[in-house]
Amino acid sequence: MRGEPDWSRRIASKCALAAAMVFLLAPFIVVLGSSFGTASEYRVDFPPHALTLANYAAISAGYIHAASVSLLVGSIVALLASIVGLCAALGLVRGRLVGREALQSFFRLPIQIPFVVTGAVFLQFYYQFADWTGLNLLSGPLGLILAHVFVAVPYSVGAISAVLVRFDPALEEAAESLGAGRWTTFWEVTFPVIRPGVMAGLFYAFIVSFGDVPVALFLATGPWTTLPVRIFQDMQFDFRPSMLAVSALISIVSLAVILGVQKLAGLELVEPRRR
Amino acid sequence: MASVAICNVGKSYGTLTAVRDASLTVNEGEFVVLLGPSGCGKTTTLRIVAGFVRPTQGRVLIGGEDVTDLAPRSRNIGMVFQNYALFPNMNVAENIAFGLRQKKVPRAAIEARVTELLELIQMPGRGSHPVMTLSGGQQQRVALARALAASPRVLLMDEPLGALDARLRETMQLELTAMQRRLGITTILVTHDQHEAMVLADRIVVIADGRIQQTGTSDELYRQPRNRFVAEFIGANNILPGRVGDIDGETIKVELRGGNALWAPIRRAPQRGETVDLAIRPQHVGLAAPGPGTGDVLTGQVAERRFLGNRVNYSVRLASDEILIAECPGDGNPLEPGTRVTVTLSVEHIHLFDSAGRALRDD
Amino acid sequence: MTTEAKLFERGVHPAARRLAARASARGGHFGIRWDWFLVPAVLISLGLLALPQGMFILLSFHADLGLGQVSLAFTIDNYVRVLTDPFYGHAFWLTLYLSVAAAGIGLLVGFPAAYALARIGGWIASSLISLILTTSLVTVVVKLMGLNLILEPTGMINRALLALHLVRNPVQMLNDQTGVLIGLVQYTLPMTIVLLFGVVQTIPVSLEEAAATLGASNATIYRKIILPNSRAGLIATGLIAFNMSMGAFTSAVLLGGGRVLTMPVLIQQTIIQNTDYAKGAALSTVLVAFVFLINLSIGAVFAARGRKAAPDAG
Repeated sequence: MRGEPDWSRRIASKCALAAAMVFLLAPFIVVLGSSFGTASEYRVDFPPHALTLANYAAISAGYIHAASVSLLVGSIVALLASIVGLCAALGLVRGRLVGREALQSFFRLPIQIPFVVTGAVFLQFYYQFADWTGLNLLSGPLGLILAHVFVAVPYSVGAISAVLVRFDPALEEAAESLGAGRWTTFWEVTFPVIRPGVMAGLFYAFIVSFGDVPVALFLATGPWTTLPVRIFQDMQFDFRPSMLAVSALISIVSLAVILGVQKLAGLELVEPRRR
Repeated sequence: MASVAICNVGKSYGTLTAVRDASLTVNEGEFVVLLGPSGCGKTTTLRIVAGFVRPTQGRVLIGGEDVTDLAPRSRNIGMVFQNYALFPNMNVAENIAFGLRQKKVPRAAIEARVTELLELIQMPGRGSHPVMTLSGGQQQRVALARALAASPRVLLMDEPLGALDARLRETMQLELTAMQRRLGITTILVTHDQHEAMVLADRIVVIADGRIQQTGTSDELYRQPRNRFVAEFIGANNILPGRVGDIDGETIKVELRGGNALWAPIRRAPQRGETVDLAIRPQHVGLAAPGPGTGDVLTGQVAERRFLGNRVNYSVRLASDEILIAECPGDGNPLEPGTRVTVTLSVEHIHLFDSAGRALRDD
Repeated sequence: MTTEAKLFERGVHPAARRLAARASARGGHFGIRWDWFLVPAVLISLGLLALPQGMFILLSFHADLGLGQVSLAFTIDNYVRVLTDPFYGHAFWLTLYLSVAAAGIGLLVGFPAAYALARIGGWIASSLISLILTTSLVTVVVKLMGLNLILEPTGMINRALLALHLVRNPVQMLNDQTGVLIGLVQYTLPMTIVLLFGVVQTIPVSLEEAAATLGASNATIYRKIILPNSRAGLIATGLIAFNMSMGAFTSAVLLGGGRVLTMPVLIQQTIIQNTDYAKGAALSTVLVAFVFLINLSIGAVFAARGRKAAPDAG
């Protein structure tokens, strides 16, 4: 039983909490609600008078294509960032190098640079790179993937380090005393225990890549435009009711995925991302 | 089964020396306990035998074979860790079978062996139980079964019973002894609990400050401590500081504080005037009514009295203001606090230790 | 030397002794030198950081020739322009003001909210935190679309205000600093709450209860116990919210209608629309350098204050 200090203090903070929750959830509720209502280019219906799925039916092939681009890029980024993150975490947590603190800060650097700047940086770099080697990294998804990996690695490093630090070395010693080699020990003992961290890292990397606008705005053009950028551009220049439906879908799917990953990875997600 | 020998093993971490010049032989089938206070180097020594720590000097031999350069997994040992280190992603059977799978034992044989071990640890049929929901005692048994599964030639245990409550610990101690005797496996166990050491060990190795203080059976350690540390560590002991007075052949006169003196036998002659410590166990301290008497007598006053069932402990304040603990049988007339008493020390049970802490009754 | 040692001393070959000495340096965990794992990670990360970033900074020291071309001559002209032209100065102060405001509002609302969550605890708190985190993990454009719908002249807020006769004309919240500010708070509030939640959790309830038994009022408990103990966390969190806001792009564009020119927006315009790469690079460098400096100085100030306070607390 929590102690019962004066209720007024609690009331004030609970009001703040309620206000914050309303503030944060309102946009989603509006989007969800109006996606089921009638809407035109000029007016959106909220709360909706009549429920209809017309907006959903009107989702263009363009959006679906953009969604698949985002999914593809996101998955590749998650995979690559996790591999790099795993190596970095293993070296940082288990290594004996003297400058480890500095290296930890180094790995946190990418998310401390504004995404706009990162986008610009990679854009001009790819131009130069194309001049040097003739390879145009902007013509396909590769340029975007590399830039996203750059930004996503810190999340992976953080998530994996968090579990690795708590890993009991006696488990590996026990495996070794029973005759297991390094590879066996890693796959059968170490990896299953750190898997939640690895999954959390994969997940964060995917989310960061999928949801990014500034970097993709610079680097993903033409057929490789990502979904958020499509929506971004349409919001500025070409509002369509089907956008509501797309946004509603993204919200629902995101929520489902997040809940699902939390089931698998436990409360790792509640741990704040380290900056 | 194999013997274990460590020869002049030392381990230093930079300027810190964890183990100094340790030499020990454990015979086949013997149960040896490494005993000592926290941080004395006993765990380090065990891990050197296991191969998790590289000695900076010395060699390790198992079964006569020099294994110092061998990795732990090639030493054919079984190890039980302090917190059991059970693999959380596997169930009981999978944990136990782990070592057998590394040796590529065929599945049928593995299953048979797992069943056999579950019987041994008195947990039959619990193979599919997840390990993390087991009680401490059960986890400990599974850890033991896992270590024994592949029939190692040596069993190493690092304070395995430390996390169990007192009663469970006692039960496990007896089971452990019985099991070890039945299997006849060479065993080295590390503990800081001297009672546990006395129950389990064929021989005890007392370690302090990274150095082996004395090796022997519990009886030997108790009756013939070789230095002051062992005398104080094993069993209760009174220590009275004194100075060497006259030396007469094989006895010396020990001058204690407060003007008392008594004669005690020695083997090694110290210098006259040297400081010595006199050690006598509480049950060898006799209390009697004051009066004229012969022999080595001290006088004092009973300060406190504690009833311990079949014994009574008295704290006696001597004329020199030192406190001596005396243990007397419980039946008989208990003495009231404040009573003046004559204190008799049983001469043949006196141990003398020189300024370096070494016993004067040994070579 | 004991007899056992004498016996085996003969068996120790000098070569084996040398091998042992060399292998003594072997680390734990299988003797794997885990440091080696850092090599690929550092190489890749360094490659992705140093090379593009370095070239970018180098670029800023050249002049734009229009249409994306850049001169070959080295010049600090861009920096001079950026640091002296009032146009950029205005953008800079605007960004600064909005970021500080967003961070401040975030702390003002987020701290009590985090406190409430921490004291509620249990599965309710975890669920709410998950929900809050979810709002930050969903693509920002979705949130901004919702905000747009809420804040626009025909949106919910204005309709309510008009219906209640609180205003005569719809309040302009979009295409305006207000809208951007709201967007920035949306962006940073979830992270703020989650971080401060962790901070408040480190203050045991027993502290508050002890103060209550000693007769302290609520305000006192808040001022003298909760806030001081959270100070370091508040500063750190505020700084993070500030950093996030200084770099925020999407909110500024979509809620500011391209008219609220914060630095991030300006950078994107300069590079994409004006193709003044060098100037854009200079703008970026100035922005990043400034944010970095602010972090450093605040860190230093509070580290020094912390050191001064420590002797008293000792």
